[in-house]
Amino acid sequence: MVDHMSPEHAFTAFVREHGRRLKQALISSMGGQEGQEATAEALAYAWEHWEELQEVTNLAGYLYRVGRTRGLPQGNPTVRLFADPQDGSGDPPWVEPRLEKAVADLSEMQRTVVMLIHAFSWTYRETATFLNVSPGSIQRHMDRAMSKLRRDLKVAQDA
Amino acid sequence: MRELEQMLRDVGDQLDATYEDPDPEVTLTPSRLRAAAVSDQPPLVWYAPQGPSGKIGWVHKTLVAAAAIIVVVVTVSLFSGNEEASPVDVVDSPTDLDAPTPSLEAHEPAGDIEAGVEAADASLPAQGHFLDVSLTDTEWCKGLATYSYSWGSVTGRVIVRAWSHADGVRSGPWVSAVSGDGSKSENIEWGSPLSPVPTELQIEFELAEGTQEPIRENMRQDKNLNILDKAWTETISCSS
Repeated sequence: MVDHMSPEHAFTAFVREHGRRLKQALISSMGGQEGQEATAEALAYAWEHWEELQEVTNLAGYLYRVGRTRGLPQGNPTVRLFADPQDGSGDPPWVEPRLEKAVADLSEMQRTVVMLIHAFSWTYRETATFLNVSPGSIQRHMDRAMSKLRRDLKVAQDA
Repeated sequence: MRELEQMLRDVGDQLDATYEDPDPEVTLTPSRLRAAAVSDQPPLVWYAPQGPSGKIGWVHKTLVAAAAIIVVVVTVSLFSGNEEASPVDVVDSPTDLDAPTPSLEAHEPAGDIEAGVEAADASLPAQGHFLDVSLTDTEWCKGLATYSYSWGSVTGRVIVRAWSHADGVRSGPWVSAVSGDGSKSENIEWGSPLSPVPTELQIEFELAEGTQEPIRENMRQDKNLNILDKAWTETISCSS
């Protein structure tokens, strides 16, 4: 669809269409700050290899994997999803304080699926296509993740 | 009612707002990306980390380098007695500083943040502050859902969770909130009526990390609250 466009325009159009979602996915996977930096790494890679990447069918999903690889922090740091309420950015988030750790403790796939679908309102099908897995697999990851979150947060009703 | 899914949506909204690009229409251009890629520098200054931790954007680095050059040139000119050279001449020479720096102000170095911390430390409350928990509207049991508490001056945060009891079943938490640091009062609401209508509500308070020890002591003394470590519970009977 972008064959008639210059590389500059095609790349800009791609970023406008997919950049936000790419960032949401990388933040879901890696945490806020790391996900943002990984997005920059992935987009820089995309521009450097723009011509050859035209053959890739799911380019956004491909760049997601690039971002996870190139933006991977050293060691095994704790995933920090939320902005630090002490950083002067405003009021603390009105969320359960144990939620961040509970989400961070999920497996990477479970965390990514939960965040994309519930936090960023992606559909199951969009998530499955982006992550290149079946919708059934997404459903299973979601079910397990939500069960674990409810258990960790003691959200389930109890007599 | 704040379901788990709703809390996750709130998190997503917050993340979108926190990491939103300031002005992608202006800043995200392929020419800048290409220039960054060729120069093997961190590619996007507008994606540079915000706050004191992490890497510094390349424009910031360029500015620092330019400032260092100015210092060197001025120093050399002073010692060489060359009065024709001046900092203005150096700034006017061709540099990368022509490039717009849209988000540079958002990446202030750690100095200001550290200063802010010092200011906060200086305002720590002295002894004598207290937490006064009060219910202002008993209708909240039915779903009107307004609940407030107040205190003198808390350094730290109070975490509040509300559970309802109805027909022998405990359910919730319906509310899960973090009070603001230093606030004098908070109102907590949930959007939809609780169903079934509870016979009583149980409010759990928990002091967040960093809450000042003297305040806990005063709470225990002044209000005779049953504080166990850093958490306690109040149970309120709902009006029919």
